[in-house]
Amino acid sequence: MGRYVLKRLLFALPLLWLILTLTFFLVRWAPGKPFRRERALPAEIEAHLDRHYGLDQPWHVQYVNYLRGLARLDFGPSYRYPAVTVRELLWRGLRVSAPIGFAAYALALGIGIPLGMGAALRPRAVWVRALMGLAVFGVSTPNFVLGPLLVLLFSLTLYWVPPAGWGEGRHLVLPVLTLSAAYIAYIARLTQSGLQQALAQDYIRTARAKGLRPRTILLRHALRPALLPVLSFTGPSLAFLLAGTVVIEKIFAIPGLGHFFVQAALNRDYTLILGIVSLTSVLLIVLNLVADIAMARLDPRVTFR
Amino acid sequence: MNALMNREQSVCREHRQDGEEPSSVRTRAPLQRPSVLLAIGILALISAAVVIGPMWLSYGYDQTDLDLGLSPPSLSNGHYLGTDILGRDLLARLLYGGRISLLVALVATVLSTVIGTLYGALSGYLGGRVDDVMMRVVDLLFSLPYLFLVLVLMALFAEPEVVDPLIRLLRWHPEGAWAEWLRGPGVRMVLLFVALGAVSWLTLARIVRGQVLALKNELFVEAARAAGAGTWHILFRHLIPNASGPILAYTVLTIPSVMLQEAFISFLGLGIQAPQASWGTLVHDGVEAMSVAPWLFIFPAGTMVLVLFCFHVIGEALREAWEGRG
Amino acid sequence: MERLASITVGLLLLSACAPPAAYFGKIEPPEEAVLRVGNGADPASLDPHRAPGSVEEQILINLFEGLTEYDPVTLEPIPAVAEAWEVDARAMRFRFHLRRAARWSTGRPVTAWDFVYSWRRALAPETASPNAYLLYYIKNAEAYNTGKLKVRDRRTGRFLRDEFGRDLLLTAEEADRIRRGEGSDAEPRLQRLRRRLEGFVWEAVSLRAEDVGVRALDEHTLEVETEVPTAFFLKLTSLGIYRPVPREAVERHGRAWTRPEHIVSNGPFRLVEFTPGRRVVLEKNPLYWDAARVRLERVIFYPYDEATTLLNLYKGGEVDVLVSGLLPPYALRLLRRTRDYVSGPYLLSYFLLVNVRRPPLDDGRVRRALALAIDRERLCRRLLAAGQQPLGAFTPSDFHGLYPRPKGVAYDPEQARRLLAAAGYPEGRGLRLRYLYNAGALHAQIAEALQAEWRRVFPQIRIELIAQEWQVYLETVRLGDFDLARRSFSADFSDPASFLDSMLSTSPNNPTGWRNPDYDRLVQQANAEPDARRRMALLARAEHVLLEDMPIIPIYSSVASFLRKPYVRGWHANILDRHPLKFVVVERTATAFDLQAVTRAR
Repeated sequence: MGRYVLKRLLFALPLLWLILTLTFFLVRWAPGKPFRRERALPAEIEAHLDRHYGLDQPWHVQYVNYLRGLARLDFGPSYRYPAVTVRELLWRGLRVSAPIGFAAYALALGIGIPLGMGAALRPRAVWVRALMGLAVFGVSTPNFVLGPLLVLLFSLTLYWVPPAGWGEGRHLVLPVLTLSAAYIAYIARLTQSGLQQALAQDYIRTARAKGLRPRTILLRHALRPALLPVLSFTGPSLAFLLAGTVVIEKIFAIPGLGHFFVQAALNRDYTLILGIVSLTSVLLIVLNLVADIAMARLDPRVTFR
Repeated sequence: MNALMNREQSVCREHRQDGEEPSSVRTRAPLQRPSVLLAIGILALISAAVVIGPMWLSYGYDQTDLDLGLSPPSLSNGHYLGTDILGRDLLARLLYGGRISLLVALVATVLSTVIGTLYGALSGYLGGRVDDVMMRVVDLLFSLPYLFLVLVLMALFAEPEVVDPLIRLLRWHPEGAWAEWLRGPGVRMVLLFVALGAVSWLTLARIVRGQVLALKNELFVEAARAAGAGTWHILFRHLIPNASGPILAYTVLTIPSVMLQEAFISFLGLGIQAPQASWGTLVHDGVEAMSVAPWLFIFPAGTMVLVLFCFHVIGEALREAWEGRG
Repeated sequence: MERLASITVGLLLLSACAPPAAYFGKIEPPEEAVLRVGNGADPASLDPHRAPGSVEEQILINLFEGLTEYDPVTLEPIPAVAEAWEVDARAMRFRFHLRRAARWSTGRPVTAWDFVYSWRRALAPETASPNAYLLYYIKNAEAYNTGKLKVRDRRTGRFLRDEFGRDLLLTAEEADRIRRGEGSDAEPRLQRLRRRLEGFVWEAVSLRAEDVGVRALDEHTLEVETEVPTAFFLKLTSLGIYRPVPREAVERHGRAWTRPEHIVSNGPFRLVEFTPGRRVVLEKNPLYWDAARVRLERVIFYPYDEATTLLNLYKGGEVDVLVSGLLPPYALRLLRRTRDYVSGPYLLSYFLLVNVRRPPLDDGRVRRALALAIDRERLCRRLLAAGQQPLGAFTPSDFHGLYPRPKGVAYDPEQARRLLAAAGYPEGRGLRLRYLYNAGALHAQIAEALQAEWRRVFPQIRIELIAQEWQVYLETVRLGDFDLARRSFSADFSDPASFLDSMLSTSPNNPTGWRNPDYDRLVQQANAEPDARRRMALLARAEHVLLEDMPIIPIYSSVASFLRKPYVRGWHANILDRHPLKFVVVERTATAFDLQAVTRAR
């Protein structure tokens, strides 16, 4: 197992390098350049700006310089915010996006798994069907519709929570609700179908025949394999959530990674884009690894190599 | 849980495909429930309206009348769902937008399901180094800022020097309006599909791989292998059918996310071009107009939510039917 | 579903049915003297020399005080660090007397040397200041900033001038190539230069920082020499890039000197926090010479750019005032009727760039026909609805009656049809145009409306709308790959030259391919004209030439429009949307602002 983790992490390094290299050239290849605004600047001034940030050099020189900096974990200065380093922006963004992502996913798991279990065990119960209907409604509603509706209801009509902003706990409520709504149904569905399959397995029948209590069968034998699809879904979803979600952060004016990514993309802030991409990749790699390990723990049919 | 015990149990397990296991008892087949029939009916109705509806309308989707801007729904002036800020008929825009949205959803979802299932199943089944590499490719694609991929592709395919040889390669000699469409909006539409399809299959691939990993050491697979079945045979006849529950569950969930992404891409100016509209862009505009012209929000958002809801109901029934079939 | 719809409708009605002529949302003055401003974006930099635009300017004019400050209503320069000044008769030499009480936040006095240092820094190529071009009015500033060479006549020792009385400037490459006698007919500029230099024994001279026309006569006297007569130079001295920077902090901390922990400033406020994406916080500067006048203790700038979000915050009483241009276009229709709504003229022209390089728009008749076919009145009233004015000319204002602005084009479909038919496109038959714009609700709506306007007048015309992502759009415009492209242009300072300079044949903001020597000559002549009235007349003639040729199609002139809580005083609508916070007050007792309004709103 230790060897497996080590191998995966060793695999991760060239992967990261590949991602960064591709992104490095992709962003430069895309039309546009940093420091271009609607008001065009005299050519000489643009040349000064390019020289100041080393953008006048050939791409391969820029690339080598960038990798050199990266080796020291120096992502360089942001072009959008020259007084701030990319590392600082990443750290700030992560400290905002991660709590929202975690909270939203935890909420989605907390509601989705019991709901999925309910749906698998008591598919005809009224409360299960009502809640499932609600969850499906949640996933059917685009977040840029649900967000404004929640704001209208809870902020501008009932005045319970602020409509947007960041800094206090109450600012978390609406974004977390909106974000989790899209995941509850996914998780419930995956749990439900996993559990139904698991319950149809022979070893469950065996367990029943052995006279184990239904609760023990459910929690100890059936649920574990049933959660496998949820787990493999969790890796990328959580990475995606932690890395910030553009739409939610825009609606609720949250200074997270998603916000910075859009800013960086619109301004062709190459260094910040690369910084965010590498952070996202690291999150993804690590979370997928964790998900795979957890999967192997839960399901002995899966073996490490 | 004792791993050893579990292994013994799975050895005892029969191949489900052999139909020896009694199917779970249900009062009615999932696909014949009233809620499912209703959902199918609604979707059929909306699809029909979207395809043939525009022929019956007295307004085009791009027909403006500034003097009638933002008029509320009315039976008397023929704008049954009201007009937008340029005085265009919302019903017409909704129906035309439906064509684009449903097409995008259909193509991107089919693409992503096919690619994701095959890729994930193959990766999980082949295992070992191949699996490692294939999954790292998924990670790679997941991490790339696909916004820039689209930007680069758009820039590339805006050049006739790139597009024309491709068209010639297909031994196709479009002329007139067709050629124009192909070099302008057509390319964008195809790129939109590519972009949406390219990102949607990644999660599904991981899910399928997880399922296949869990199934491939089972006795029935080994039995098939021992009987000399080829890789594809095992994949299509044994592994994918057994993983179909989660696949279907996830596929249905892909549709809304594709529609949302289409709206976002269009919002950035990389998707469909004005004055065309999709449900996504209509809803997006509607949210802004919510306080002044609520009909611009309610009808598109209502339609979209209704359609997605129906897809979910049907998808759910399909999944149940499939699982109950065993 | 229907239930959801009816609930939504109910909620919407609840929120939408504000009584007319009432205030909008919650009115509760903050407990301290705090002003919370919705500013629309994060500042890219708070370094006056590196700040690119108005978002930054709105913050940094409160941190750094220049020689002059904007009057909060008229924007005319009023004394700030300079308490008095003298101008010579030709408007080429300006002498500023600095206030002895002016201090940096470290306690060190602000001296004339600070300005010399600052302006040289702003111009230094290493600083890479995006707005350095605004300093080019100062003698030798352009040559120093661009690294171009001046040409000295070796026999007389004098510098050669161009036809407009400016110093003749060459790039090093040009100087070399002229010496070597290179340059084909395809390079008109090189040919012109060669002719100009014929018969001279000349040498090319490079410029250093010390050559820039700004000198400290003593600690408190600053003298500035301009390249040519510059009647509006005093207005420039309020601009961000003319404001001083603290040498000690800049040299010690480099690029990071504007961080709250390092910054030293001389304005009415100082920076205490900058959290990207969240807020910028300023606090009153106790060492400011006029601190007694400053009534705000703290100012918070929010960078949120989503118009609906900002409006929600304003409604919930979490923001006190919004800078202009941040109101959602739809909501304007309701907001216009509230008492929070303030609007006034704003120096921004919305127009279309016309690519005159290629057919069919190389034909002036086609350009004019397109311009004549737009019913701007209706567009402004029906679509834009914030009080935008139909624009027939390029400059959006007559500058308080000082500028005899040409009338320009008006709606005339008959004439339009005739012209287009004469150009060979009756009813628009065979005319295919690509209209380029950057994706965004407003630009899309205008594009769609114009498409419809043209189709109404010329039924056979085909206009293809092309929306592009922002940077792609900028690049496409720059490369000139369009027929028509939307563009808005706002003034740097309140003078018609700020607009007209942008259409000079040498301007980077003129990607239309249009060049007219008459226009260039008139604008350059005007820029060198000391007499204000004659200068304006020359500019008006230039604009007339521009409008005859129509390389641009004007659409509308914008308005400054924003929301302001009743307890905010001293924040006025003005033509550049600049709001020096020194003059802004937050009234904290209800009686002081408008008790009646509050009770009515409740």
